Amino acid sequence: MKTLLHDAKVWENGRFVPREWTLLTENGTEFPAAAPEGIEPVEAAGQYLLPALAELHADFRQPGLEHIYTFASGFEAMLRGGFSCALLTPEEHPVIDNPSVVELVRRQVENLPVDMRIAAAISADLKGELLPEMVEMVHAGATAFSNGLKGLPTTRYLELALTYAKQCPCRVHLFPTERAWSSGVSVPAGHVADLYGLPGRPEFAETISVFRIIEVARAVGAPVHVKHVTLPSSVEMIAKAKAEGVDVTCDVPLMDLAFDEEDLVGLDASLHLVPPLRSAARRAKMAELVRAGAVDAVAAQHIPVLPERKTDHFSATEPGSVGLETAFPLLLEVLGGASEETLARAVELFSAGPRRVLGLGPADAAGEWMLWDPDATLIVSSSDFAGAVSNSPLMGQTLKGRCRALVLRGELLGA
Amino acid sequence: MKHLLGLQGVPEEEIYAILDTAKSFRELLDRPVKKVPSLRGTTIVNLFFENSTRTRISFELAEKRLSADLINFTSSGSSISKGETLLDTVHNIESMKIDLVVVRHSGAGVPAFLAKNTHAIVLNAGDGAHEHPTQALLDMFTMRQRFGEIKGLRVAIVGDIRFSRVARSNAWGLKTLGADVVFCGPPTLMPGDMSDLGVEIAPNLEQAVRGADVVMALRVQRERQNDGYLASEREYRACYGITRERLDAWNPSAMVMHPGPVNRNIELDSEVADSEQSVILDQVTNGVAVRMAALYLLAGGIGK
Repeated sequence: MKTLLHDAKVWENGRFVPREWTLLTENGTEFPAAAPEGIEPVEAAGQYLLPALAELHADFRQPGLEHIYTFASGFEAMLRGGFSCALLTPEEHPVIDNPSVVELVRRQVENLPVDMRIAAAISADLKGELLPEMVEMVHAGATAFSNGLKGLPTTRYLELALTYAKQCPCRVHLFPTERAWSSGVSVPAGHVADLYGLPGRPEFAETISVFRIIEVARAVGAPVHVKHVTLPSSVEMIAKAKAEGVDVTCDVPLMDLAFDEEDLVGLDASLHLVPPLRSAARRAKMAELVRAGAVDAVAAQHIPVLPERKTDHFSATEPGSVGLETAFPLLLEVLGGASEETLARAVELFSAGPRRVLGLGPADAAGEWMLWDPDATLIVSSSDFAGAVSNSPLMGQTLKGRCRALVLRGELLGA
Repeated sequence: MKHLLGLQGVPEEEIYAILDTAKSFRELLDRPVKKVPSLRGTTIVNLFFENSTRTRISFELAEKRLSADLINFTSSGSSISKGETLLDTVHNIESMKIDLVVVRHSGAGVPAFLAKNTHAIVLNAGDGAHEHPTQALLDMFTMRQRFGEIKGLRVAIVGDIRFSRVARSNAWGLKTLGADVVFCGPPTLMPGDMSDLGVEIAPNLEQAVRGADVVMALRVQRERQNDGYLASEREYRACYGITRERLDAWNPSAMVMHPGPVNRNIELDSEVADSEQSVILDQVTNGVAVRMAALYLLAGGIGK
């Protein structure tokens, strides 16, 4: 397959270079002086050819909850959002905690043009009590381990699991929370929780857990990724540990950069998210840290929820939002606009960064590109989302820019 | 006022409109014939998703005294657990052409959710730990009966503030009318951030009770002990119980209130609950009048 672009600005080693002709093939990218014969060019004036994006938390609900969402829906969402790679997270439907389930998932996703990678559970049934067959799961196709959005109940289990995981070439993705705050309504402790009399999740539930993960990773010498940190003090701990030689990475959930505790006044269920939104001051500081390059990646946290599980009172609704389709323009907005500098920062946070966490080289080097139209306008509506879900807090909002297509190994997809 | 979802943000004049209207209905309750035709032809559903005896009966009585047609729907637990969404339940009921919904639910925000998603007028009869506006209104009515004015009163609310919709609604309403509100309770049962409510926090019971015009004890829920918020009922009483000795020593003239039902000799001693100082049964009577007033004023908008 070959794709010929006319007048695109192409990402080359962190810069954007205007190219009259860009020829994308299975074997790489060329810039011919004239249009090669026999290929219909795609007009891309004013558009950018960027490395395709990667997502560190995708729950496509399959296997088990195909009535909500499927790998096919996930593929569609990835196409619309410009993602060539997504890490499937182990959730309870059923839990990916044995080689047979890993094999089942691998068979269903391996022939898709995008790269859906499997994070297998770091504990049987995500309970944090018994080790799963990690080596066998890697042989079956797992490339990472995780405990989803569940906290591990004891430091002893964390130590055992990280120690056992060392025999596998996998990073362990851990969500920093105390087990006691892993379930139930997800709102931050603070004035909004107290306004409604809801049990808020305190900040120390995250920071203590981040500390615990870092210290055990340091002692054991295992590579870890701290999922979805929302607090500046968490980022500072991780940065310090990195400087001291601990192999630790982290991501920040995009929604926590776009919304904060104040947006929860009125209890809009589309903002029922895990981790909970934090205060406006924390959000501002986190955005500053993200802009300054203090974190490895951002995560869209794609969690499809059926409309009926979101149309109830807040405490009864299911947490989560879909986000792949809207992630990149939202990140640009959070970073402060659509300048080329911002675009480069966004590529780092949503492509190069997460790919490094996953042990992958740059997307452009792998022939995985996104054609980005910075001038398109997206008024978010249910038709923008794949599958039968639209659980996004962005409904009705206007976003600037849109992924026009994915180009994977020369093939133009989703245009 | 289209709905009564809570007292947060309700202006002074609207609170006084309910309290003034309630005064007329309160007088009516002392007459031999206690029924008026004010809401004839209005259909009200009492949607109680949480156990309640006195609030439900109080609303039912208020509705009957106003000659409304009423239906009772009681169901504990989330409608989701039965496989039906809350919205579906409500749409079904709405299809029966209901004018006004009185709702109690364990989930904070349910009345606002209904108001947003139905055409009916919604009256909050208690949502989670969020608000219980008619309870606060009847408390304010009772205070006004005794003191004439709410402005300048000092009201001490003692007990499980964290999980109390009564405390929150009273704080919003009383602050709007110019009273000073002081909260006191075990640290585990106090909210962490009360900056929105603008109330004073007393470090101990004595400082809360001394100088208060009103001392309101809240009910201690047994499950708080099982959930680890309290060590024992004995220790609760020792630290926060409103006893005869304490009132005599610190504030012999305070008016004592309780939203009921009372755990006798835990948060409130029988000797106090049954004394002249206590207005607990007046609160119950006034509750019917206040609910009549709220229903009457809300239903006034029907058909307009």
